[in-house]
Amino acid sequence: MKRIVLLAILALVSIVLPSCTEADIQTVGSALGAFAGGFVPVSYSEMQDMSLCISAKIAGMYDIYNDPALLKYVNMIAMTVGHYSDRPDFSYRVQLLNAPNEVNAFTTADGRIFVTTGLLAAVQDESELAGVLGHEIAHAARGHVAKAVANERKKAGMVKAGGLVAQQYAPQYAQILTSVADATFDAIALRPRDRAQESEADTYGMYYAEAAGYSPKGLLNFLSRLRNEEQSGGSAMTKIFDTHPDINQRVTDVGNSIAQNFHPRENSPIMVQGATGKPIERAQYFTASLK
Amino acid sequence: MKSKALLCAVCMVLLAISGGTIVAKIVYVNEDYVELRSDKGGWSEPILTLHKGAAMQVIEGEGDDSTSYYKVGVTCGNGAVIEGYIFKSLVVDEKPSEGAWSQQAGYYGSAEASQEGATASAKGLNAAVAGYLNANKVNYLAVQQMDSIPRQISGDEIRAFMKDGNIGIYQNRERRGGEK
Repeated sequence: MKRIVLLAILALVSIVLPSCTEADIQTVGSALGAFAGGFVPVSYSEMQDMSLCISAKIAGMYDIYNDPALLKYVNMIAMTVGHYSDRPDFSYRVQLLNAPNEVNAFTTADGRIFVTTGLLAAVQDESELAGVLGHEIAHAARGHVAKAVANERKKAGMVKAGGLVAQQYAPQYAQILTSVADATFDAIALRPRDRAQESEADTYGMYYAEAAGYSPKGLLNFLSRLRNEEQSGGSAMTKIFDTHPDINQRVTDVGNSIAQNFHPRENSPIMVQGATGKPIERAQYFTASLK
Repeated sequence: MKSKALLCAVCMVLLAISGGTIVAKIVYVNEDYVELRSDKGGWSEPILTLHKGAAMQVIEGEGDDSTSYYKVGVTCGNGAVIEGYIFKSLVVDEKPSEGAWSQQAGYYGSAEASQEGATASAKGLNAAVAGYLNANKVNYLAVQQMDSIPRQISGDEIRAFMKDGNIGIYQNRERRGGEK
């Protein structure tokens, strides 16, 4: 069968080729190059470029929340949890988005994490925040965002190949970058996310948080409370549900994962001295200004 | 006395067999790219980005189960050796199959594979990225700010943070749930 296909292609080429001009052949060559380029793995510097563009666009969607102490605190949790991830070599760094009515977070392939103030205000203790950050870290450490970039680049390669034949222009890196960065931005910030990857991020996020010393129940507690608030109609902060899988199913899956993979032990709260001199849970202390 | 003499003899035989040289272990990067760090821990400064198949000589950490890191030496093109730390699970003993970097370098002209490290963005933007940032509603300043955060938090500061919370390298293993 393969031989027949090959012979058919050769026969077709032998008929078409003599009637082609040199320019035609160059155009087809460029198109094939662009098509093949879509299947070449994304290079390190390309991934850096894409991540930078996507990050700048996410940051451009919101105002930045300026609280140096909170920023440092959230970053230190991300660094601690990230140290126990599959990719401890990544530089995990967090930026705070001023969106008090939105519980949401975004991650890029190289470890930039954006969290909304609505999410931080909804957190009740540090293990919950560690669970949420673990989930975001897992998206980077398990290569979910890198795969999204690679998929979009494949599509961009094919689109350019079609465009080349029609318009006879050479592929430009800037065009590819724009196309891929925009499509990946849509995939991670606007479109519903891949359920299998979300589930994996939940499980691995709990592994990382647990390995860092936090209770894996932090993520379950956080999601359960959000679900209850949503169901009781008491919270308008449901943006995360637009892009994430069904919250009921997610809570069930996370609960099952804890039962299967972890010893169900509660975490001791991490207490610090509050402004009044009384002990206060550390996440509550740093997020007090948001509540 | 007798046992010391025996030990010396064994050592001499071993030295004779090995030709007087100690063969250092070589490991290879097994991910598309990995950051070599200045110290153990993801919070330490990234000093070099290594691509799949990159070789390095293990200086410390071999056979030491108490650490997840190797201290390694990487020989650069000019012969200089850069020392740093790399997470053990990101490297392998056998050279993995060739990465795609050599095939794709230069495919898009400006998209060359970088060996320069994670601070590439600090060197300035390439024209394509600059064009994208100019053409879209973005906040590049916020990204620069977040990229500088790891450099603003010292190793001592993150260790103190972990110690205060009994987490990370200071966690009480009893308190942890632990994997089944």
